[in-house]
Amino acid sequence: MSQVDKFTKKTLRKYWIELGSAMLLYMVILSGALLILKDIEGLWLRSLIALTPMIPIVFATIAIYRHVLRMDELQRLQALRIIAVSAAGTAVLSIGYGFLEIAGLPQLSMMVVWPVMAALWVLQTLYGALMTAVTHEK
Amino acid sequence: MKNKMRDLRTNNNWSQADLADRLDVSRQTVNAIETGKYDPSLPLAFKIAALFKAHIEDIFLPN
Repeated sequence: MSQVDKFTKKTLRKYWIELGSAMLLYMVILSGALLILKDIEGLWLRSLIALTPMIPIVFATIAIYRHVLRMDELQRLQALRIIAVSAAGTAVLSIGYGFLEIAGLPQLSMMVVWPVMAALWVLQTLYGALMTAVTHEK
Repeated sequence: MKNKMRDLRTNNNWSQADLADRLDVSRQTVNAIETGKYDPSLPLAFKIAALFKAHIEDIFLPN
């Protein structure tokens, strides 16, 4: 069985604390924003309140950036590959679906793009983690 | 690039995780270097050489 080294434990612990806090804050602010929006009128004020969940999203982005800085050089290289493949895969899928929309398929929101990229990111990360788990020490 | 990192590590009775802790990198990185799947950066190669009290060219050999 592969041992988990201190470096990985330390970096992942910090990452999950930072990202987890940001996502918890996101859920709180999103719930609050959705509740408040019911009783608010006026485009500008509604837009301002609708954008408040972006504050914890910025925190989550900073958490990811800090995690990348804490990675070792091989992990950073692998992260770059994952992001590059996710971006390329998202480009292929979104452009492909764009052509299908011309053919008559329903128009999708721009909000769909990020989950597609995230799904490709997660799939590759899980595959990488699986490969790491099966690399036995000789 | 070939290297003698595995021999040096086992001579010290260190696991890959032990060596990773000493180099402040992940075990996965140690494994990738030992198996020749990844060539370390110059700063990491110097760190490895310093840890084993050897010269870089004594540890890392051209193919």
